[in-house]
Amino acid sequence: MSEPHDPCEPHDARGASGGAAEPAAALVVTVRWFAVLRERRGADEEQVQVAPGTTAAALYRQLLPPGPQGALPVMFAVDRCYVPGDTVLEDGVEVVFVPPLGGG
Amino acid sequence: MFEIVSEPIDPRQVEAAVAHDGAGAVLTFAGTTRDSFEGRRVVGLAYEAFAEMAVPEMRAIADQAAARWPGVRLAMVHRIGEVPVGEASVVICVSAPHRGAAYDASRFAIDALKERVPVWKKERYEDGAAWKENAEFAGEEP
Repeated sequence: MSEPHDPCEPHDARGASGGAAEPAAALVVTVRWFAVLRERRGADEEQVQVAPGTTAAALYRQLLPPGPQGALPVMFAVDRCYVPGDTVLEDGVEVVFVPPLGGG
Repeated sequence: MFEIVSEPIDPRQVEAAVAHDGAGAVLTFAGTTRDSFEGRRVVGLAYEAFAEMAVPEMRAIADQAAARWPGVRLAMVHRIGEVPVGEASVVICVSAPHRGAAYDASRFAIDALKERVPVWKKERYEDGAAWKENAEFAGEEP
């Protein structure tokens, strides 16, 4: 039996290299859109410049400002792992805002 | 076996992925597409997936089940694209030393899939269309 291994364990070493100076320049992340959000945004995928310190939730509000009924609830995935909305985005990551699921 | 496919699912193939001589039970769950939703007639439906994440999430669910119910093996296949009414959109097969763990792990797996495997469904009605929202979904409202 294979050892259970979770590639999405929190606080893994991903992106922890260096650790010297904070980058001051804008970062670039890839945002991929699915389902109802793909329709709202009108795009499958885009490269987005974000300021250092931007969180996943902040980017969601920035790209899809809440309408009169508020924002659609989402889960956040960075590099294909679920993360809390207050996760700070790093340069080069892939971000997906996961709208309500309908699988099964 | 953990797959996102665009063709009809053969449950026998999924079963074969978990069956072994030490198993006392092999349980197959098929989720099938319905012809109505809250009284509206469904004329067609389609699934889409974030496959690069859906497959590892399915694998993680199987790992959790194996840790919780020793001896359980699990396979999951979800279909995407158009799925005709009455056909299987998802098949989950579980083998276990005894039937109790098979039933428990199967229920756990489909509930977890609906909660966290990135797959979406759009239903079309005679007068419109809607993306379905699983009750298990627990997103944040940022």
